[in-house]
Amino acid sequence: MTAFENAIEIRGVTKRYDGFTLDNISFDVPKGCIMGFIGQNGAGKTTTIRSLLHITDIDSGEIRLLGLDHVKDETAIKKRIAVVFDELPFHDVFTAKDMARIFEGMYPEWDNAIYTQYLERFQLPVKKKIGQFSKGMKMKFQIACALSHNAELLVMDEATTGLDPVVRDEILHIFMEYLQNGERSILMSSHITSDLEKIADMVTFIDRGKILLTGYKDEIIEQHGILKCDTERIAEIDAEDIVSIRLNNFGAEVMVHDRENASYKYRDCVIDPASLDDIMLYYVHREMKEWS
Amino acid sequence: MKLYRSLVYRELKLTRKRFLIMLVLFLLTGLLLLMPFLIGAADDPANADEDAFSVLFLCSATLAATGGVLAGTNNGILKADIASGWKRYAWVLPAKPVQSAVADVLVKLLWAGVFGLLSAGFAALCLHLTGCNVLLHTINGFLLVTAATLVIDVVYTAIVSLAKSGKELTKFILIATGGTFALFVILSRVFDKMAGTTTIGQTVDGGDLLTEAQQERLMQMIDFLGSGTMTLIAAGILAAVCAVYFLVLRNAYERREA
Repeated sequence: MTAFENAIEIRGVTKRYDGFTLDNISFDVPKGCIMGFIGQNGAGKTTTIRSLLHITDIDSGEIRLLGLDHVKDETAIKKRIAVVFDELPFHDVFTAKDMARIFEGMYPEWDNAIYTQYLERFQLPVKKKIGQFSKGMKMKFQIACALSHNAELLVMDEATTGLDPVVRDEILHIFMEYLQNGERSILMSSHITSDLEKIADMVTFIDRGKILLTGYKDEIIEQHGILKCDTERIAEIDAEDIVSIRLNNFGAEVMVHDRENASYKYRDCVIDPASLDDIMLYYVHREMKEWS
Repeated sequence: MKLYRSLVYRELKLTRKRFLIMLVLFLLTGLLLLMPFLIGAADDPANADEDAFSVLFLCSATLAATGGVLAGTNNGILKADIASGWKRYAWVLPAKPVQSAVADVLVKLLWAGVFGLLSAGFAALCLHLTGCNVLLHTINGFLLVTAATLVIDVVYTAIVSLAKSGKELTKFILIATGGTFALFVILSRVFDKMAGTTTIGQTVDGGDLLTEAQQERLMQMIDFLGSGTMTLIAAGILAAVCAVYFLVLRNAYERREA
């Protein structure tokens, strides 16, 4: 097995569609890390995930998963990864028992004991047809299948979207357990930033096909801040410090990308910490500069 | 081997219900066709020479055609896989396109085998009841009809896997339907020429549909249909169509989303 530092390496990947381009994107997901992949709907999260899983061909660039080329070593990679989509991709007529029979032949490391444990933990019936499962049960079931073959990389595309907070919390807890041995990694795309704030070590932010930010979540949150001031004071703030400005009835909220520096430069202004949600919102409006 | 078992298990599980219904339909057709022999001809086998052969030939041809159509027809998996999202999910599974295609062909052949054996069983039963041997006619007819139906499935599979949008799918289906119709017209003309048959409804002297020479030629063709040579040819055609089916399926599994 190849030794690798990064579970995922994406270098200069471009994929062109009519009306949308995934534009020369690059980022890494280090081994043992949960990477939150955020961006609004249509930003390019799913295209990136489909590209790295070779569901779609890329126009240029290089993708390596677990140290291997994502096209040349496709079969070897796919034995060692697991994928969870936003919708259950299994036929309604199958039962959990049927799916075990299907997967045990596909994955050399499929473990029926672990699979049964997850089914019991999620209280999923073994003999009931999948079509009769609720949305929450379907997602739990997909996760149970994904976690039962000792995958080293788990890729999830909006897997927690549409689930109630209790189920989401339960699932996030399981992901944390899954990562405990330090050899496994997760790439989790979501636009529910609160989930990622809870569990992600790193965050990559994509917008309109371009990567705007990538790095450790705590550093990103620490670096950014929301400076509150009167609308008249906006002109005094250096344009270089500003991501974008949100105007409201009480004045302006300016996102700065270097909170420490801004706190020295604009001593008389209050600078609040920013959440991932704030960062996403202000970056999305970066070209308008002023918005409300 | 475990991988193939998994893939075949999945397909069998998905197609089981559909084929059980087809099997019932097939057995009912067989029973219906056997009725006259079970009731009448079996009472007086001596009386059942030439006429019985003609009737038996028609019955076995009907049953072989039914079996062939049921065996070769599209099993709906591709469409169901697209609808359920499995087609996309299959790209993240470790099965290679070749392995998935082999499993598909195996399942197709398995069901074809079931219908083939039943068709042959029908002919064997007829032989037992009437003494007329239409075994090779039945097998050959079955192989040819299965191959012809499979050709339609090959075209359908290619269309569904090549189309990038609903609009393109409709366009391809229209072209294929037009092509199939044209092919049917051409083949009927070729058959007419070979057998030298008259236009439907037209009669020759004595009220017969065919002249004596034409009847003789038709009988020669029927004899050839029941020959060992024809079995080899039909099996060869089916094998070739299966190979094309495999290639189309492999291509469909290799093909990525736009």
